Amino acid sequence: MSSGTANLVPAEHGTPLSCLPREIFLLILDHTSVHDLLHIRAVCRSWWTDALHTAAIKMNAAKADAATISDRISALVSTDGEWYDEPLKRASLVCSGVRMVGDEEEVQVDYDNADGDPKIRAPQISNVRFVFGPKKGHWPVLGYFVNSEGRIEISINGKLTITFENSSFLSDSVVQRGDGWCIACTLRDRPDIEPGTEKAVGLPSWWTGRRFWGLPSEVYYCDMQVDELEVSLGWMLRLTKPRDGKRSIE
Amino acid sequence: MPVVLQASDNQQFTIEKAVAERSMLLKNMLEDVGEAGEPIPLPNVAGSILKKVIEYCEHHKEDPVPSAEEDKDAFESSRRKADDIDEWDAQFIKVGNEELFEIILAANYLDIKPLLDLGCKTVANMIKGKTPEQIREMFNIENDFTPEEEDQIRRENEWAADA
Repeated sequence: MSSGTANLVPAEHGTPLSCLPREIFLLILDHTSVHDLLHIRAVCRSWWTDALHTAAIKMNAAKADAATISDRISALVSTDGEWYDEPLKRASLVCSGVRMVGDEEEVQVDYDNADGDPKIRAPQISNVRFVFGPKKGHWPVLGYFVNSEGRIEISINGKLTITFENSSFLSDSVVQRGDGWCIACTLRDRPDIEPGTEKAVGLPSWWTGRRFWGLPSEVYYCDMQVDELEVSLGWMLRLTKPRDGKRSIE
Repeated sequence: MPVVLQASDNQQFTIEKAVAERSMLLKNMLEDVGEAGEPIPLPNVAGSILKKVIEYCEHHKEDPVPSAEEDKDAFESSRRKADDIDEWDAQFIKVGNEELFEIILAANYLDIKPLLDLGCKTVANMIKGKTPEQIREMFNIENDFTPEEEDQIRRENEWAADA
């Protein structure tokens, strides 16, 4: 893994973080939400690496044996026409309410555990907020993470994460379900490619300098361009509504 | 039996053993060498910072010491709650950046996990919601992206920033 602690210069205006070893800098990032991590990656190159590495670990945390709730929300996704449920390990998120905050919708999220005990709550994620809608007709470039099992987790600027089981269906695919949501993605390329090769054509020009290959957690990061994305909040609520104490698919 | 700590600038502090034992480093040291009564040199910690650390340990001396497993659970739990800082702790950690970083380093050296956690949470909260430019200014970080890269990043972040 490349990177140092932070790219720092001698203090003139602000106090540098250079006195802190990288292990402590990573601890600080560990206290930072995925949303903020995706923003602060733009501070400098070394922050880019460490912020995305931390984000990848956080988003990958649901795979671990321990019950952890990451900043992501699980969702049903379609890859080959079939719908797959991708819950968090030992816990699943449910939407407990939606309210308008200004012009934006705010989703209140709670979770129940694998035993279906609805009393267990996660107030620390109750302020999870999703804002849907393109800006001036343009969708953002998304980041996706691929772990060693080939599962792809997509985050929309940290505001929504959905998980795909198989990346091969992402290329130029359009899937729809009634008036729910559809997603059509064009992968710029797979992350398991060598920079400079024919396969790498289409990668952002700055990508090959990032050196994200070979992270210890075997999580890779790359960017993709989303052509279309529609999310119906009401439909999503129906999807995640518990039935008989367990998560159900409607 | 009181414990005497000697900072890097030779300042000495006499504290209760229970207070010293909030530091895993000192706790292990005291267990190993017994109560010799000699000052314990802490060459990595200045007197002014050691005073602050002792103030923290004094306040938290009655706190239960978590077991290794509880410690892991508490860490995982607190990891998701950067805003969850005790009121006294919040006042205690209201210091300048330089002092804050020195407290973090001291907590790391002395192996006082709750204090290290408090310091890291505080820095994380300082970062929270800030733009990259504001963070660079706050911590005096050089922007080493090329103009093309910056443009790309700006376009990526634009949607989230303005949504």
